[in-house]
Amino acid sequence: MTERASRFFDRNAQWLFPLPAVIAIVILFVGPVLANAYISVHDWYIGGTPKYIGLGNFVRALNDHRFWSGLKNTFYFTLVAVPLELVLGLGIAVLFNRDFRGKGLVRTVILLPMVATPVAIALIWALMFNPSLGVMNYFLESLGLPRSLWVASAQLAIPSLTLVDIWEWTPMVALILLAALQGVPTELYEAAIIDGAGPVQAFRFITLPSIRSAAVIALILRSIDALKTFDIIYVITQGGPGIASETLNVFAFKTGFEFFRAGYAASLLIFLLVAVLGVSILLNMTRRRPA
Amino acid sequence: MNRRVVAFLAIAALVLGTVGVASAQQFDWKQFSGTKIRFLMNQHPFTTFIQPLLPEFEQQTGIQVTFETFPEDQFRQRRLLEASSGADTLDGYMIMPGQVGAQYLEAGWVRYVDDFLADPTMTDPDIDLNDFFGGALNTFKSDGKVFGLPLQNETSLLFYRKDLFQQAGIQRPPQDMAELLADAALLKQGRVAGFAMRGKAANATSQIVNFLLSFGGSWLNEDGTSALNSYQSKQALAFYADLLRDYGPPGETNMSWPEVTSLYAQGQAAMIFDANVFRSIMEDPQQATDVVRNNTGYAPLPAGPAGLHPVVLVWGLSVNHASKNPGAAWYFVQWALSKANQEKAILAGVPAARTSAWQNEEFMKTAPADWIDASQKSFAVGDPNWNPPVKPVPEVRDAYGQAIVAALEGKPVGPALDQAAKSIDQILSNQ
Repeated sequence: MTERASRFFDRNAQWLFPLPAVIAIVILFVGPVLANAYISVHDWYIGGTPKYIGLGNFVRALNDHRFWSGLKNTFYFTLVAVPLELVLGLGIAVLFNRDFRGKGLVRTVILLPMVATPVAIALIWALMFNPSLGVMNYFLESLGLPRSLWVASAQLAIPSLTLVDIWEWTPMVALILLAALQGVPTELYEAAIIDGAGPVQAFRFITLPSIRSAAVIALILRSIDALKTFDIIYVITQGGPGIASETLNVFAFKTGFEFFRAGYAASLLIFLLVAVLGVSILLNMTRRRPA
Repeated sequence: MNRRVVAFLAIAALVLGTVGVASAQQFDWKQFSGTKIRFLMNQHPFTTFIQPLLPEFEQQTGIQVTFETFPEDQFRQRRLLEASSGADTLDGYMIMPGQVGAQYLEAGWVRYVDDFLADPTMTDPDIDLNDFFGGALNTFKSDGKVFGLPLQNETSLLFYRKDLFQQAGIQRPPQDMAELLADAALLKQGRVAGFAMRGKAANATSQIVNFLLSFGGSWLNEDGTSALNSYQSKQALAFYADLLRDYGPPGETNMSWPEVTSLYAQGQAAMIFDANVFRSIMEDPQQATDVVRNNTGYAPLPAGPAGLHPVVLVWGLSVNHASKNPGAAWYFVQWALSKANQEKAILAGVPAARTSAWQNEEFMKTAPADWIDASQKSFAVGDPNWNPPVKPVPEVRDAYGQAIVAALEGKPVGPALDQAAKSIDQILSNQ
C-alpha cells in the first residue's frame, strides 16, 4: 500500500509539488479577479439582489465625468510622483555608492519612511498640511514665502499628495538602484578613465546603461503602485476638495464600500486593472528592447 | 329582571373579569427566566458603561445576555450581515436610526414593539416614555409606531470664546443668523477666524443640515425627490458659504471635526459649530490652551428664518426582527434604558436620552450650566434627520457635499445645488 502510494507520488511529483502554490494562486488571485468580472456585469446594490445588465456599468463609467476625472487624477499623480522618485532615488543611490563614515546608519535611517505604517504616515502629513496649525506653512513662512492651502486647495491637492508619495517611496527606488550600482564592475570605470572619459561621460555611458534594467524594474514597480495608491489619498483628502484628488481607486472604493454599488465599483476596478496592466506591459517592453 | 339590568350585569361582569385577569397577569421581570439572548453592540461609551452591570440584569430577570462588541465600522458590517441574513440567534442591537433607519425599516429588520407596549405583562409600568427627550423618542418612531428606545442623544452647539466676545463688545451669543454673521465679522482678527465649521464635502452635511432646516429647507420633497434645489436650501448654503469665505479659516474644504475642534482648541477661532460632545476636548488641558479652557461658552444653534431646528443624533437599542426571544430582548432594552440606569449612564459620561437623568444634581455639577441648558433646548426640539431619510445615505451626502465644496470655492450656489438635486434624484431612482 505505502509502496503504491510512494510510486504514485514519484510518478506525479512534477504536478504534486506545485499544487499547493497553484491552489493558493487560484483562491487568492484568479478567484477574486473572476468574481470581480462577474460582479461587474451586474447591477448590484449591496443588500439587494444582483441584476444582470451586461456592459451597462462600463457604459455608465464612460458617461460619468467622475470616472474621467478619476482616471486623469490617477495618471496625474503617477506622472508627477514616479519620475521624481526615480531621479531622486538615483541621486541617493549614487551618493550611497561611495564610502563615507556612518554609511550603514544613514542607509538604515533613509529606509524609515518606507517601513512606517502608511496610514500613520498619512495622518501625520494631514496634520502637517493643515493650513492654520500645520508645520508646512510654518516652514514656508520662516523662508519668507507666502502660506499655502496645500491639500485644501483643488489645484494643489495632487501635487501635495505626490510629495508624501515621493517622501515615502524614494528610498525603495534608491535601494533597488543602489543594488544595481554595486553590481557594476569597477574595471569598466578604470578602463574609461584610461580612455580619457570624464565623470559625466562615465555616468552617461557606463552607469546608466548598467543599471537600466534595474531602473525599469523600479519604474514598473513604482508605476503599478502609484496607479493604485489608496491609503495616503484616502486618509489625507478622501479625494477632496470635492473630487479634485479622487483617483480611480478612491472613486471605486467609495462606490463599492460607501455607496454600496458593488457592480459599478467592480467595473471601475476593471478599468483600473486594464490601465495598470497596460502601463506595466508597455514599460516591460522597454526593458526587453536591447540597449 | 329586565333586559337592561341583564345587560348591565353582563357588562359589569366583563369589566370585573378583565380587571381580575389583568391583576393576575402583572409585569414580572422573572417571566423569561432561563432565556439566553445576544446583542450586537458598538464599541461605544454606553457599551463600556452597561457591560459591568449585566450581572444585575441577570440576577433580576434570570435572562442571560451576551454582548458582541466591535469598533463602529465592523459593528455596522456585522449587524448588516446578521440582520439581513435573518439569523434568529441575534436578539437585538444598538442602532442609530438617523444613519440606517430608512434601510432597516424598509427591509423589515427591526421589530416594532407596539404590541409589547400595549401589553401590561410585557412592559414595565415605570417605563414612562414621556421622560425621553422628544427628539430622541421621535427618532425611534415610524408612522407613529415604535421600533426601539433611545439610549443617548447628541446635538451640535455653538462653542464661543467669552473673552473675545467681551473684547469685541458683544453682549450675548448670537440669537439668530444675522447676529451670527455680524458677530463673526467683529470677531475675525488677523489669523483668528470669526467662525469655523466643517466644509469637507460629505463630512460637512451633518452640520450644515442644521442651517438647511433652520432656513426652512429639507432633504426631500413630499414626493420623495431631492429638495436641495429649493429656494430655502440655496439661501442656507449661500449664507453658510459667505460666512465661512469671509470670516472662516483657510482651507475650509478640507475641514472635518478634527480640524474644526483643534482649530478652536488652539485659540485660532472665536466661534465654532459642532457636536456638543466635543466639550471634552475643550476641557482637556492636553488638547486645549488655558485661555480656551477658561473662556468657552455654549449656546444653541442661532435661529434661522424658519426658527430653531437643530438635528439630534440618537443611538438606541432595537429588537431584531428574527429574534427567537423578542420578549426577553425587549425586557433587556427596558432594563438597560430604565430611569435608574440612564441616570447612572449620564454620570458615566453617556449623554443619556431621559430628561430625568439630565436633572440629576450630581451630573449638573459636572458640566457647565450653559452647556446643559443649550443641549437640553436642542434635544427637546431636535429633528432626527441629520442624514437624508433614504437608504443610500452616504451617496446622497456625497452629492450634497460636492455642492458644499463648490460653494466654499466661490462657485455659484444655485447651479451647484441644482446639480446635487439632479444627482440625488438619479441615485434615488436607482437603488
